[in-house]
Amino acid sequence: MLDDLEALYRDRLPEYTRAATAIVGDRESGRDAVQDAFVKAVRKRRRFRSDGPLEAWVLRIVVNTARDARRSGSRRAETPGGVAARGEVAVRAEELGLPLELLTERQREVLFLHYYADLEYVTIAQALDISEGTVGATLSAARLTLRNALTKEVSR
Amino acid sequence: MTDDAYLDGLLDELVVTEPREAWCDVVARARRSRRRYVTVVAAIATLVVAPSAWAIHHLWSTSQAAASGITLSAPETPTPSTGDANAAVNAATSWYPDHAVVSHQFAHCIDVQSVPRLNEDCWAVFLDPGNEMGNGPFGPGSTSQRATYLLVLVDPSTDKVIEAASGSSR
Repeated sequence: MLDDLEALYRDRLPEYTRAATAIVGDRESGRDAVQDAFVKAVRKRRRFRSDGPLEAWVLRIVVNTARDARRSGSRRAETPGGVAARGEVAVRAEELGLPLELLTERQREVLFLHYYADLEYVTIAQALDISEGTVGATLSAARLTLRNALTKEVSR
Repeated sequence: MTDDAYLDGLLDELVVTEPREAWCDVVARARRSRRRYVTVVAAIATLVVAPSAWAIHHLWSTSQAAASGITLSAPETPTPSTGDANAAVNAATSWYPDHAVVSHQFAHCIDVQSVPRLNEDCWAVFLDPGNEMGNGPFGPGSTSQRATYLLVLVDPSTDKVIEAASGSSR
């Protein structure tokens, strides 16, 4: 089991790091989230049930750890006025004219996992505990929202 | 309409990061965590096996559970391992770092006040309430007073805190 986790880590680290960075909002926290997630996976490996793929189980831990990091980062970054400082990804999105703020949290996560972690719908569905059909619909809605917003921006 | 290739190009530029491969660090940290949990469990065992007068006074009771609107009963699934108990205790103490652990148990947890209603097996970790304030017995006219218990419920599958409750059964 430890060997399997190590193989997954070595094979998929770049993709997981990219997806976690997108979810957390900055590179350093994204890298830390993946490391922390694998520490948890190693520690809890006996809890893994072999009736599902290992990658989905690990990915769920990565996503949960990245979410927690984003939330705790947002709390730390809050100014006395209650406005949170924006992360690198949000700043970069604005530079690129990519309106990620139009997407829901789930839409962003599905989009990031599909695009950056290069995962099939079934793995994303297992990792996020939603149906495969919901993954497809969510991804389509997210891309449509972004394409529409970009089209409006271009036509101005 | 903007095409998918354009959108993919933007996404490609959005996140550029270099992974930092350190598998040895992952394994080392996982082992350090386990040693720390063993220490925590030893401390808890000391409290449970040889409870002081203070601990006896503060131990959770069914009446206290009912007072908070939470009921704990025999779990419906097998009790997880000691390592899992350590993780649950760790999750609880990370929420309340200045509160000593009194005891913990794996139980079927029902909270009639939570939305959605909690009705599942979970870890119930009892902490010293210290100066926490809480409501008196659950029900109409309940008033805030010095807490006599502090309970943290932890999800056994994710080790995340589901909810925490403090209150007084007096």
